[in-house]
Amino acid sequence: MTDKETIEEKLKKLGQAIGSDDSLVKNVMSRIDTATFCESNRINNKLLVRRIIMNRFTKLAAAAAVIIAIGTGILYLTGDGTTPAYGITDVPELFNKARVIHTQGRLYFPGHKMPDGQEIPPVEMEQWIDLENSRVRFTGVGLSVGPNEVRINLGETVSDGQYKMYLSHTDKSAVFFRISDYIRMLETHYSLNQMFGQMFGDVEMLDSFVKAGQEEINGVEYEIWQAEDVEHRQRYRYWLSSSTGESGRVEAWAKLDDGQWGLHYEYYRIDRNVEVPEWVFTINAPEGYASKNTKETATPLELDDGSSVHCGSLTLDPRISFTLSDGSVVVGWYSVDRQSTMPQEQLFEGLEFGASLPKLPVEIYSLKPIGWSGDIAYIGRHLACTHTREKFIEWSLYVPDGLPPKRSEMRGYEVLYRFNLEYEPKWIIGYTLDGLLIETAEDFDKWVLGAMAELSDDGKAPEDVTYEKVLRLAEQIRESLVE
Amino acid sequence: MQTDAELVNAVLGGDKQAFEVLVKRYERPVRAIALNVLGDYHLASDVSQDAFVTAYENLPGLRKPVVFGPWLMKITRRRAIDWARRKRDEAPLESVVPPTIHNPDGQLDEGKQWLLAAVTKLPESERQVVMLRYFAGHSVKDVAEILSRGVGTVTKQLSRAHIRLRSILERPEK
Repeated sequence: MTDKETIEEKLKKLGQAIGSDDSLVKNVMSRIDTATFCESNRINNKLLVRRIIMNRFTKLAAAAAVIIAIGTGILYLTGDGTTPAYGITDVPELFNKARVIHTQGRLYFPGHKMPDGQEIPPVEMEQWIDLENSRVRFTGVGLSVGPNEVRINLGETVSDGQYKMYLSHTDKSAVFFRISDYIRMLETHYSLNQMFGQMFGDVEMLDSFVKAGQEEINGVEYEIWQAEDVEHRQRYRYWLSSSTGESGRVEAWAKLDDGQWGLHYEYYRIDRNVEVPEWVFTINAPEGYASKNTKETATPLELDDGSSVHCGSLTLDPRISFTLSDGSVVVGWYSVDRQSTMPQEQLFEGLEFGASLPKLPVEIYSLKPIGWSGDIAYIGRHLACTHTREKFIEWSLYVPDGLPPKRSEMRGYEVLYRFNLEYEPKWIIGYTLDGLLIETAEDFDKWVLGAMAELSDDGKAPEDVTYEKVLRLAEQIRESLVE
Repeated sequence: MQTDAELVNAVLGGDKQAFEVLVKRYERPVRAIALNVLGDYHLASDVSQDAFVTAYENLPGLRKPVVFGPWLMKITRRRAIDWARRKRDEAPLESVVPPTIHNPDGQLDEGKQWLLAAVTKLPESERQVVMLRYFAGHSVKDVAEILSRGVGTVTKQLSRAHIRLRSILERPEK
């Protein structure tokens, strides 16, 4: 390059120098076939209901196979008599303390059209969360947009006692699953968190809400609060009675590709602590619905985070993940090479709390926050191992080597993995973890130790794992980095 | 010219060939990102392949199809950094950037290396238009259509990028 060249000329020359590789397109398309094979294994291995549960956390609606469930909201403001009685930041606590939450609403499909150019009609949704008894009922909507077809799949999930039932209103069918108390509690907890996500975008966003007007609905005066999530191109509006703290309406608007705002979903009914009609948590197929199995033959659901990945003889199966108050992450995961002749227990021999990670065939050696531009590495350490149904579950702690992102700045963690094999499999794993938030020792005991007990044949968590010990280990790792 | 968002939706609707269009569209920008981190043409090709496959696998998780390009670039950079870490046994990445870049015809000279490093430091919106315009060889009109932006917006972003690049390149070396 010469000094007289313009930037444009220099860029063009650089583009030529970077060059093109004719084989790349061919190789990628060929590998996608393999990737699809791995992906289909992943899907086949899991049940539809779990896919719906998983997808309830994706927050999206602008792609095919999008599945969204209903969410609700009641907002309160704080004050001293001259100002409103409740504050919007009190809302999560108010919901956490509710016995029962019931919402009804509609899901719209902004940015999508029917093949004939008409709008896709909205879908009615309903949700019940019984926090007192840890049971839920919610609508799931799947939208599949193809070049010549738009398909909406409507279903409902109901859980109560030892059972969960998935109703497909599209196929008029019912499937039964057997679940543990822990899984039922966890899914109720997820439902509540998901509801918060749909109401606020993120709990941390509550501070950014501002009053945008007032409106009377059915004789009740509501103040309208509004916030915009610029990154996710979403705008939230809440109708809140400052005197009673009840909420009259919630709307979420999505910014479309053309810059216009489209109504994404709305809640027109939001109740707390209402009586639950008997039909809501009935685990029986409605009349006219074909049952694919019975309660007696119900498939037992193991605790996992929704999907494992398989390729050839290899399996990687992260079961559950938690984000601790200091930003460290606990992951329970399983990995096996079915071709290996080495007994799995050998890989865990002599491993103590705080040791390096075991050299499992596919090793989760670190994590990476998704959607966050910062550059930190997570250092992995072994916490414990549990044994369930002939599988060894590794419980690892991943400690960030810098200031971790806030929850609102990320969308979970990408799993960073390596193969402890004599060969390098041509296998790309795109795996993400949610990281259920753990803020107190009580949370830790309930959820983390609860998960360890759930994934243990004797139903007990390892005795040497406690919240304090884990936080202390994380602190030691951070201190060692400074040194 | 189909937009990225249209192509992503087509892939999600089952049209695998639509992904081939995206691969062809982003082949050079992706390679450029990988080259800048890794400094090895062949390694960058491998990483580029991985990045595209990872993007394909994770496409259902892409919330906004319109941001496919930046999202793909992030995946590529992450993959490249992972490879670099593995290959260099945890050596600090700063020590390998800017790299000595080899291509099949020889070596990128120092000026091109710095220009590439400068391009990767541009703001996301400008970086994307620069890469599609000059590396992938699309016209301004095509870039605007691909990114669902106005031609005026793309022109302005290119102009700002030129100014920024000139400023970076004219900065005296320390």
